[in-house]
Amino acid sequence: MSSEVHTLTGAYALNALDDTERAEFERHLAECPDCEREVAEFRRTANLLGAAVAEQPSDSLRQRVFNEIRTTRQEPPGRPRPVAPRGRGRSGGTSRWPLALTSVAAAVALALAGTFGVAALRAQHELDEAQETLAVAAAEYAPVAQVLGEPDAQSVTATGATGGNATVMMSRKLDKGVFLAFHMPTTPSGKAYQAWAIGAGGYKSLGVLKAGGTDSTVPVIMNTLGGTATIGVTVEPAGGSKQPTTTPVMEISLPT
Amino acid sequence: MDDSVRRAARLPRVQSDVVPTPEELLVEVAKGSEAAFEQLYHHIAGPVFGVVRRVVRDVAQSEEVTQEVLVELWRTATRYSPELGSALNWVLTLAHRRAVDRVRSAQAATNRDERVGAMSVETAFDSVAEQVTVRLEHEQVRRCLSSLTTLQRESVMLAYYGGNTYRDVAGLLATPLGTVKTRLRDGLIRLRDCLGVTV
Repeated sequence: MSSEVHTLTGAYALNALDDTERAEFERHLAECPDCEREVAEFRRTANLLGAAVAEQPSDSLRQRVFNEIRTTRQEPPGRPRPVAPRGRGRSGGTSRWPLALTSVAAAVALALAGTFGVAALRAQHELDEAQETLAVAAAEYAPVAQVLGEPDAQSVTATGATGGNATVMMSRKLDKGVFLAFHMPTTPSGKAYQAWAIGAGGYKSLGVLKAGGTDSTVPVIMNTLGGTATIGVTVEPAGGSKQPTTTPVMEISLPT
Repeated sequence: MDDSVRRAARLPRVQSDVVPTPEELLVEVAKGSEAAFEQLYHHIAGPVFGVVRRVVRDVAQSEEVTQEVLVELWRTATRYSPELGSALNWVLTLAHRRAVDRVRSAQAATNRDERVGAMSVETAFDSVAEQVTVRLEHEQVRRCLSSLTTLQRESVMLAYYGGNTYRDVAGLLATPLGTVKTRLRDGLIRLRDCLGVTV
């Protein structure tokens, strides 16, 4: 553990890192139980600073909250997460991402844990759960395993400008990659996320992202990386566009 | 054990004169109880709004973010488990994150350098400090904050209550990045120990 990275626990716990640094630090956090504990302690400390400045909101807010929860479906019980999850912003939109399976996230986490020796899954029940899920999903996610089986496999993550995060697992040697986004904010009605492979030669659509497991998209398999330098995600009309028409909400630079 | 037995076994803890803790309420919320959410609201709405308001400042926008946070709490209550700390800890972690998300996305729309450059150090810190100190209701928090060095205190307050990145804090305090990084951590360590926080 480099002390340089370790000093970021404070800034991280206070949400004082920018998106890139946050993503980098979260990678470090997954391998550093000491940092994780320190971050948890710092968060509790910061929350005491927060609780000390309590201020009652207006009664009308209370009414709005109760009106909204009456029409908001709760998530079914699942695996608890270690940190506050990124949400999808305002809920109740028409194109909310379905919630159900933990398949993709579990499969990917397990594959990562195996391949990189990362202690991504600590509790035995999480492993059991992931292994069961993986058995079911094995065939479907064979390309993920293929990529991760390569000695030069690496993963890059990024956080979206409007929320959500994404991971690319790739192997330059195999010239393949898998792209997956998590916790993306709900798109406005009639809109969808579309991923693009961007390189010196221009851009190529990777298709409209489909909701997969809990809060994640169905993995996008890239059968060739070619000269892709960046993967971008834009908000497009539901059927997708021929070319990006909005500023990317997510950009991941791929290592060369 | 079936449910009726489970309920019977728990009876001594749910007598009518025992007020449920926020954690117990959150467990009920996860089962869809609006009544439990109503009671939980009384415990958490003030702290959530307080945190969001410090960071976001604008009252209308702060109420919007507070609403988002509380609805998200309702929606994701099933993710809560006691090892994540108190219910208040859980929801305030979410609240601060959402408040920061809101100001950062607003900042992204304006010129960041311009914004930071236009604000003098004194103005930035004074406005955060002033807003906060009149509001600090917990004597212990106030005392522990005053036990920090000036730079630690300014860094922590500008980052937490001001919702600034440590880079912005460094700019505002005209202090090297590395120094702010370590001051934030040292300041939090001192606060943690002073407040007796353990995980």
